[in-house]
Amino acid sequence: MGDSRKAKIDARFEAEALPFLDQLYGTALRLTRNPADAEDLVQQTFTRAYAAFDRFEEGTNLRAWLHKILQNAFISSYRKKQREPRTVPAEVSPDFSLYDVLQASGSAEASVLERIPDTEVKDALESLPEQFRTAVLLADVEGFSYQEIADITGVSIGTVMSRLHRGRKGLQRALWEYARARGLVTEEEPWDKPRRTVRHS
Amino acid sequence: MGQAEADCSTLIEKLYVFLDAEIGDEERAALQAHIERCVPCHGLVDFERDFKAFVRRRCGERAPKGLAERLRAKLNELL
Repeated sequence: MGDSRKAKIDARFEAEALPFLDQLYGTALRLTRNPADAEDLVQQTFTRAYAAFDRFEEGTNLRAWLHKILQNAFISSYRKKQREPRTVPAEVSPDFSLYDVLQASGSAEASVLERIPDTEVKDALESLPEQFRTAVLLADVEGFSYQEIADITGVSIGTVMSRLHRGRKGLQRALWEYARARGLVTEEEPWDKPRRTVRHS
Repeated sequence: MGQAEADCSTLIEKLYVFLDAEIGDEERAALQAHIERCVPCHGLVDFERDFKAFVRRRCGERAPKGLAERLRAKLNELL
C-alpha cells in the first residue's frame, strides 16, 4: 500500500475507529468474562478492522461494523474455549417480572436496584446464556436498534426480539435472586403467583 | 377518528418494542393513551424504562490503561 494512502487510512482509523475502544472492550469483557481474553479479542477486532478498513464505506455505520467484526472474532476464537460460567446460569423465565415481585414484596423498586453493587449486576449479565447476553448488551448497554443487532449477530429481527426479551427477564430474575439472598427485599413471596390480573381497564 | 386506546394485555405484549422505540406512531399513541390512564401499566413502563437505563449505567467499562497504545503498536507492526 502506498505511503500516502496508508497515512490517510491511519489517520481515519485513528480518528473514527479508535474512539470506540471503550465500548468494544466493554462488550468483549462481558462476552469473554475475563480481562486478558477481552483485551485479546479487542486487539483481534481492531486488527481485522484495520486490515479491511479501505473496504469500509465511509458514511455507513462504523460502530455497528466494528461490533460485527468483534462478534465474528469472538465466535471463531473464543466460543469454543469458554469456561463454564462462574455462576449457575440464570434460569430464563420469559414471564418473570421484577416490577411485579418487587411490588408484591412491598419494596421500593429503585432503592433495591441501587443497593446492588456494579460487580453483581455485571455477574448477573454474564450469567445469562451467551445469545441472550449479547442481545441485552447490544440493545441496552450499546443502544443499537433491532435492525442493527440483527445485522451484527446475523439473525432475524424476530430472533433479536425474542433473545432480548428472554435476556432482560433472565437478568431481572438473577438480580431478584441476588436481592433476596442478601436480604435487600423484606418479604418473601413466590414470584410465579399471578400478581395482578392482566386486564385492569 | 378518535385515538384508539390499547388495553393492558397489549401493553404487556408490546412493552419492549414500545420502550425500544421500535413501533409505529399510531401504535405508540394508543399505548401512550393507555399508560396515561392505567396506574399499574404506568408503573410497569416507568420501571422497565429505568431498568434499561440501570443496565446501561452499571455495565459500562473503560478500556484498561495502555490498551490504546498497545493497539497502535500492534497495528504499526502489521505494515
